[in-house]
Amino acid sequence: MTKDSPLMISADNIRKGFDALGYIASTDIATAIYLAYQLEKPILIEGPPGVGKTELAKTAAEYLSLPLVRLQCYEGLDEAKALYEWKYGKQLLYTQVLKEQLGDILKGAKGLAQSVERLHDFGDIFYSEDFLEPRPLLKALREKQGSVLLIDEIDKADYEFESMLLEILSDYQVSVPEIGTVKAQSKPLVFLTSNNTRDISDALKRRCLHLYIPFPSQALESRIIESRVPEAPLQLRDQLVQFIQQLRQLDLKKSPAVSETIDWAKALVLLHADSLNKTIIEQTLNVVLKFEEDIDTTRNELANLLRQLEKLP
Amino acid sequence: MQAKLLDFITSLRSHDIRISTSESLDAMRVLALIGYHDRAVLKSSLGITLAKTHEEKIIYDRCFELFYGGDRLDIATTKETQEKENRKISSDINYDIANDSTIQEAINSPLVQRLLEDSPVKLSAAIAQASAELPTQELRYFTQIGLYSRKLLDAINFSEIEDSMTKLRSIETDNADFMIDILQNKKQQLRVLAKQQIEQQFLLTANAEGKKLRENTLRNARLSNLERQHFSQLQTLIRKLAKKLSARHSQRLYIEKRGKLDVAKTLRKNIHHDGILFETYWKKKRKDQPKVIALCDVSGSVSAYAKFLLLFLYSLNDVLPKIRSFCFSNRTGEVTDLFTNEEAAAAIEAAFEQWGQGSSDYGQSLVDFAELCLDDIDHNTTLIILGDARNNNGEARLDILQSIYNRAKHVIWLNPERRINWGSGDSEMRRYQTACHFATECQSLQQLERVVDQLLKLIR
Repeated sequence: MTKDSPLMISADNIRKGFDALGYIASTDIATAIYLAYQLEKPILIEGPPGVGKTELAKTAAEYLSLPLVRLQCYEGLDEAKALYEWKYGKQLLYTQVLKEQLGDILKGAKGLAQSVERLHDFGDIFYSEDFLEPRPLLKALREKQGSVLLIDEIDKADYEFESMLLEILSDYQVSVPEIGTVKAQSKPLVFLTSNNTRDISDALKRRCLHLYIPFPSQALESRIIESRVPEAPLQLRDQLVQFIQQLRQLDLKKSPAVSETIDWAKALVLLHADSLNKTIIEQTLNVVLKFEEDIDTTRNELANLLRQLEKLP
Repeated sequence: MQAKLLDFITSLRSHDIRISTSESLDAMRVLALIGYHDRAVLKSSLGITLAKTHEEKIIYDRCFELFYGGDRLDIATTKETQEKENRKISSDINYDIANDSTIQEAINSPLVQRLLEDSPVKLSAAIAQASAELPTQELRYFTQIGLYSRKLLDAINFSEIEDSMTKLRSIETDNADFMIDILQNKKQQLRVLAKQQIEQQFLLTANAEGKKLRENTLRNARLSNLERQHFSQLQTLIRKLAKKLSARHSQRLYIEKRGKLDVAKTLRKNIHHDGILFETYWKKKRKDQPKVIALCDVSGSVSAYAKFLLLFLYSLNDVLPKIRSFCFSNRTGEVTDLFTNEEAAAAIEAAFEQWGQGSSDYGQSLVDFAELCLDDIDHNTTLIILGDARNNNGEARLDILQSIYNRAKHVIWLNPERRINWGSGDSEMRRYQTACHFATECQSLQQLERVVDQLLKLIR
């Protein structure tokens, strides 16, 4: 991954490339990726669920043809699961098998001092690379061609884990006590996502670029649907997107996200609908809304919402 | 280029966006990468680098528009097109003027020449430059805008226009009159531009400075002296304070629970001792969160404080999720649900209406309180009482407070009166104090913050 790779020459280039891969990026998003790549800094992505935070990392990996290493965070995640672990079983097995060998090595040694010295020559074999089990973070650092590292839902992990990430995110290296410091051969492009269930510490934020992805505008969402569900007819697409945009104005427990718009479009195409009407909306509302209360609220407002739709040219 | 960016960062900082030195360095690198030529890209790039929460992004957007003022240039360019039209009409007159040596001499000063020749865009750039040399950091109140725009005009030798106009008047030809009209127009435009420039400066620097000044005053003012009009400002201030406290104290603590072995971890860690359990690892359990109960006096004698104390209680909900709140004047009632479900202002209003009617009766209120939740008070509970302990010579019922004292982990009394006045008149504070682990005066927000900070350390 070189800095002047033609793929990453400008934000505009990135936007076009992402378009081709079916990810419609706004200027903000394209600029963020460009900067992250050029400054070699991680991006912290925040925004409501379902606006394509994880998808962005996947698309970036595809665009750069790099492997995607994903680390899903959860409460209680620790370095043994995120960073590295020793292959204990293998170590035990080897010590058992090699027990007899040890006798041979020590044969003829005079006194304790000499035995220890011979053992020293034997070295730290059991704590070498062969017995190291790399977990996602280490794996990402050791990719020779570079990689895209996605640390998903960092807000779910504990504070301690966040602090552990700091070394990796600022210097792209980790310290394994038995081996030494592992430095990235080629710095990975790092994405962190957060759903804002708690505040991320300032120390982490300082090391990252910060990208906030809001719900898309009507025009942008329409383009997203066009790219993801091309078989949806134009009229349906326009109505659908406008309807969703109106739903987001309502006081709902969970506003429909872009992923739900896409699902809905797919569902409507399956049902061979070419425009929205009351019955079809009522039948398929559960694709978009995930709470009974929300569905009730929307049903009550449906007449109003439909009247708004009819104003469409 | 860098100086301008640094100015921008300073003004962002004064608008409460926290930007560290390393982030400013990043911004420099971004600028070197992006350059100034595409404004939209510049805006989003700097935003990605400098503003790190959604709220900060909103503030950032506003500051960016003000600082790299795009709209001002737009005004200037529309004016420029108008100018061109004017010039077309009077091109023949222009020719006469150009050949009239007396007029040429009258308008021979640098500023007037620049006014007549240069485009307004360049002119506003000149104004911006002149304003950078003014000590605009001292701009603090909006009343200073007039003074500073005058200073700005002086800096670009505004009087030269006046001089030229007097000279022109003495010539007394049609062409000279025509020039006077033009200059009159230009003068007006220049004034407007200068004022706009200063106003933007004011919005950028002074407003934030003034806010800081006001907040500092509010923090140190006695709560009883604060007027209703400050209430909304205070609300944000208190929320800020509560957030600060929560950030400082919300790091979850773990304690080791002896007695339960973490078998998996112990085995793993002892492999290099040949499987002999040499080092032991114990299961950890999250510490129980402390229970906090707040009891707030809302009677007439403390009504001035009570609003703020209630507001504070309300904000405290964020910091201590397990807090239960009670209000009393002569009877006690629980307001926890009210505080968790309603908006701040509505909740406080309702609490007042429901419980703030009578004059204070600490004895009866303590009896009520004991009935409501004495059973819930255990060695993990902290009770905070907010009140002046003025009991209208009623029965004190110190025995109830003592029984609470014996059960609870901490009993803390925050009194809005000064310590000197405790125990004077109908105040029972001296007696109640004997049944408190900690009693202190709490008059201003600053004291409140200090007390609560101590308190949070205490109850962990």
